[in-house]
Amino acid sequence: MTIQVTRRVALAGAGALAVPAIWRNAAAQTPATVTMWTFLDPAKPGGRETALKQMIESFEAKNPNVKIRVEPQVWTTLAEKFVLGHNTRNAPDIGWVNAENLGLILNTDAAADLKPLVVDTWSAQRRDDLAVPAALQAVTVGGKVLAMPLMAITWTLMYRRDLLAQTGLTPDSLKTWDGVLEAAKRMTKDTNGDGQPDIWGLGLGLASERFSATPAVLATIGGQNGIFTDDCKARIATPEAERALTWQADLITKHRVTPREAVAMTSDDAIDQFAAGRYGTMIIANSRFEQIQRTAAGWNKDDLAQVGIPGWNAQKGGPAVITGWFAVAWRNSPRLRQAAAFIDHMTNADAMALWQSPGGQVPMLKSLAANPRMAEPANAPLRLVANEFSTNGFMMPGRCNWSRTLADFNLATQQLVLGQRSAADALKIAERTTQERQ
Amino acid sequence: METRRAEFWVPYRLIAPAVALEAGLVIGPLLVGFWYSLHNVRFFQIRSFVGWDNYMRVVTSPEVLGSLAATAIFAFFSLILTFALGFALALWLERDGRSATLMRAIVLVPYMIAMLVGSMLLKWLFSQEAGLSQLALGPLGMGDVSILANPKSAMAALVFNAMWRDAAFAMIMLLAGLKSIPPSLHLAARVDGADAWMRFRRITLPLLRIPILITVVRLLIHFVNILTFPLILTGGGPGNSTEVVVLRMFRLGFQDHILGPANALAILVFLANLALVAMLLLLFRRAGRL
Repeated sequence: MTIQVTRRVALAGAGALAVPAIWRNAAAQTPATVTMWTFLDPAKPGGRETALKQMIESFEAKNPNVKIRVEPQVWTTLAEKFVLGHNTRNAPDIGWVNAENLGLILNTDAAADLKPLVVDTWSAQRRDDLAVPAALQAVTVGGKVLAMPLMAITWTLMYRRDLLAQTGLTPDSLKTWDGVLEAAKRMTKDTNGDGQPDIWGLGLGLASERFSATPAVLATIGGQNGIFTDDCKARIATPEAERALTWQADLITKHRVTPREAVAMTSDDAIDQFAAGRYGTMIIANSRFEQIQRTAAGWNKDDLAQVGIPGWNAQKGGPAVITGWFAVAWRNSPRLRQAAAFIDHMTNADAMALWQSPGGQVPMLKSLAANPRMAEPANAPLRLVANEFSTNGFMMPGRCNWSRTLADFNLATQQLVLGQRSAADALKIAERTTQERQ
Repeated sequence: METRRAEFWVPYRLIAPAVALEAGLVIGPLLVGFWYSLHNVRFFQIRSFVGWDNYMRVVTSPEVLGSLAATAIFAFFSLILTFALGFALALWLERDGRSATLMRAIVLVPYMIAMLVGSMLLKWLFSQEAGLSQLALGPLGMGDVSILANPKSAMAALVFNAMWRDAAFAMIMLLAGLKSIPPSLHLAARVDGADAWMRFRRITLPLLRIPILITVVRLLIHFVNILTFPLILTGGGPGNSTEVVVLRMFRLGFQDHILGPANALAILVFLANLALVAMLLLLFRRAGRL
């Protein structure tokens, strides 16, 4: 009896010891699911969606124990949802964040340090291959790399070749703000004789909702090399900003090359007008180039062209402000290692090639930019932006919150156009409101 | 004894789900909002306790004071015009008939459309560059007038949006009140020689006091707390001229992510709402009409 009991106990003990081992083994074979919040839905058609889908497939093929689950989100709220998810201990393993909202991530403790998990594993060659190293520097805080740049976007001056040719000016004249003004004056015309221009020289969307970069912001950044100090003190109430703001308001009030209604138009409204053939030039994000060609109405889509942001003089071009998308790993993720591995996968040479084609994104690696395929005419828009990044690339300090600073400039322009405030007073308000968000 | 005790708890059990829902969806968030309003909240994370500082910051902010003025102008004109139009429609469409039924249905269309869609439609209508306003204003020699680019006309457009959509609500409420007045009263007054104005003043208006009160209070609260109209139609502009207090609150909280002052403003708006309702009720009681 005693022996039997002892055997039973021994068997039970062995079984108990075996359970964790079996469990561990089973767990090792159960795929870990890494959740990612992004604005792209790989199940949908589109260049970037297809690129992401292919990346996921290749990663899962290489790592059979890891599955990537994409949960598409509205792009405007990705950053805040990620931080709120962190606060409630329910963030995804990976989140995408746009450059304007990096401050939300870099000023909280939501993001994991990707330096030991990703950057330190890179070869020296891979590091040197980065075409926009400023993007990585901007997200490095106290030696920690809190995000990884995925795709870079900037603003360019888009114009219609046909209208510019009619003015007798060349694209070189668009290198300065004065040249842009001259071209805009010549492009503005009343074609149906009702006393109102049907084609305006320069389009602007100056509403405080759904805004984008305007000449005033970019000329200020170019003129004084940024709008923040390194410790995120706003520098907006300055003579340079005053000059830029006055120049922008004069487009409406003095030169009448921009419709007055611009003060009530969103960026999307103005882009629609540009595509409808109502404007000769406009500052637009380079990622919209194809969309404008697709929706061009009443004019030949091949007449769409773009140049870099103008400067105050022809020697110094305006800033190619780097914006775009970054991937962030959640610091409390139980699958941090796998999440970091996928972020690394989304930024390696193969992935960057996919982001470029079929993704249609600007090459983020020097080796891709030097690829002969980039010399093809179809890649001219991307080539221009890549050149602008290398010559005039400018990245806002990552910790500074400039998500609505563009709207602050818009409000200042509205106030100046409406005669509510002087340029100096309007900019003081813009500086204060930007500072309050830091 | 047991049965009596069980009966005692029945009403409490019946209202418990509603109370729980109210506590979870209203009182809870209100308390959390109040807690946030007492703290410095940066990037969605509570950093330090600041007491009433956020409240001081809000009440001394020029932007908030400007938004209060915009709210007052918008709510005042919207209330008067919406109520007047709704009342006129209710009196006009009181009698049943084919044409009245058809008109009621037509008047109700703006109210049935989602607020967001309605404001988008009006934005396209008022837009100088891309809308229909040019068709009407151009032949009058006002081709260069942009309704949405001028602070005064933008506010007028906002009031029009409110009136266009909510007059139907006022009409329904007042029409229900009108229908509840016994026709015999009007007939008796007519026999006594009362003219239409006298019947309206002595019969219709006194018997409509409660529907009027409900409509006015409901419309006022709606207009003070409106977000969709200014957010979609004017974006608060130009030059913040149509940035009403709730839009400012929305921007502080959901766009600027300055949650301390945003919640302080939300609490103040909540208290203002309570005060408005209490004031209206008091006014009606004092007049001895309730």
